[in-house]
Amino acid sequence: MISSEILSKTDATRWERIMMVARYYMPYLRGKLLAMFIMPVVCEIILSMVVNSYGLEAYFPLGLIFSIFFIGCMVFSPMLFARSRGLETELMLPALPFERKVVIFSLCFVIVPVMVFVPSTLLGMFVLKVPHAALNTLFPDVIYNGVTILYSVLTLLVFTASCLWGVMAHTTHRVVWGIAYGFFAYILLGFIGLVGGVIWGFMLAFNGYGLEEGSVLPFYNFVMGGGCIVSAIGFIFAVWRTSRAISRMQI
Amino acid sequence: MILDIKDLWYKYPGKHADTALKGISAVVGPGLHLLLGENGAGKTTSLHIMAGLRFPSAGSCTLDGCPTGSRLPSVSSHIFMTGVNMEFPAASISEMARIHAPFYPHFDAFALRDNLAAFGLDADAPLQNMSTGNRQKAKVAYALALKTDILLLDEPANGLDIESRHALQKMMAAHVGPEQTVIVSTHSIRDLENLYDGVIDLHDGRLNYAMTVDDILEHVYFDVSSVAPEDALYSRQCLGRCHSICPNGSGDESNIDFELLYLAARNNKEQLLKCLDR
Repeated sequence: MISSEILSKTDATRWERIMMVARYYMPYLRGKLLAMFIMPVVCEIILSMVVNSYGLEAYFPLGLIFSIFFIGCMVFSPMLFARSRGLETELMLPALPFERKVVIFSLCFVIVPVMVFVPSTLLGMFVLKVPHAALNTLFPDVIYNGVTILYSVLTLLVFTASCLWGVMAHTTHRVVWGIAYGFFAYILLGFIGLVGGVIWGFMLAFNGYGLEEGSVLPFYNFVMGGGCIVSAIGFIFAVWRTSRAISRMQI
Repeated sequence: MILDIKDLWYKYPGKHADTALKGISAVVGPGLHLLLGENGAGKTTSLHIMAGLRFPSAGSCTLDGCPTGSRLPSVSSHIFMTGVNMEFPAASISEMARIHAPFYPHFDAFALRDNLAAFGLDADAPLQNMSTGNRQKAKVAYALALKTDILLLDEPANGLDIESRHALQKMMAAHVGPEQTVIVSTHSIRDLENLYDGVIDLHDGRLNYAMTVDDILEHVYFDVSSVAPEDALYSRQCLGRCHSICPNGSGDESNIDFELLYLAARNNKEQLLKCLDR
């Protein structure tokens, strides 16, 4: 274990200091992270009980609500850092902004999603054996393939990064700003999606394609691919702005 | 370590925002310094810049040549600030010592224990349940135990009872080392008046003077008599006695009266600064 005397003299990135920063945040985050782990597991247990008692029809309303709740947990996970109390102490912390960013980004983009989705999914699939209804029966008009999944993941990351940007770019009303930035990203991506959809429709019409799945799929993949690119750019932009906001934050 | 402030300007963000600091320059060395100034003079803002919590609009604030706003661990591990409106993130002081103190290489756990005992506080007591005064005591006790080279205290005695103010004075005398620079921004001048080595006086975002007490006493003389001396720069009556500040032409020794100095700088600024060679 490296001593704090040595750590305080080096301005290079050190894993020891990253761990110290994580430990600094942990007392405040511990309870909330535990809740993010327990609540999805409880939801999964409730879902299994309902489906086993009332059949697969009961899956849709409840499963949908729980899915939205899980996604909400992930998208608004930056709220973990939204408190204003102790902000001065946090900014004076003898750690590099990069080291703080590693902890913040890891929590929002890796640890929280894993805690929300992985244990509950594994529990549902292998222990409770919840008969998850296939997604294409839930939304039969949507084509489910790799591009769709990538697009879904990327849009979630954009919302999460935007929410984090809102939290980090402000020192007061940080919860409100986080929600506002998240919703703004949602509306912006929705608008881009709308434009993409209209273009797709026109392309189909001008090329004289019917709605047979075989002919639509290449265009669908093309438009969704465009959505993926737009989302990826949006994600990189939001992460870059968040990173700047963390470095330049003043009280 | 030397805190070097050069032509420091700070304007709050926003189109119509005030300019809080207007070209301050000072070199602050080890010792206990009193930061004086009326409300809105820029005391807290200047402390924030020294602590790296705000970035200067122009000019610089460096610690041994490195900008405090760089927030590099090699710089920020030497600086700590606490104030009345600054909350600690941890639930208790013992938790602060566990999660925050490891960043500061000179943290003294025994000093923390002694400081808390002097204030009659329990390290495990939840900060949120404490009264404003007790929370303030806990913060000051912790800040002193960090033993940073630069310690910035914004109104440390605010909310403290009379006994605790005496305890604070003893604590400062016992725990502030000769190599440490402590800047105390306060309106309660008398709480630590025997301990100050220097004075920094701000007025409307500008620096009036930043001098050691010895330098000030070399230039001016504090007189208490029934009648104000003819050459008095400023006088005021108190309990039938006349307290005056006069030019010290003959090298007489006197005790500094910070309050009188402060009032003189506001009522006869030009003469006083001329007398102080500023």
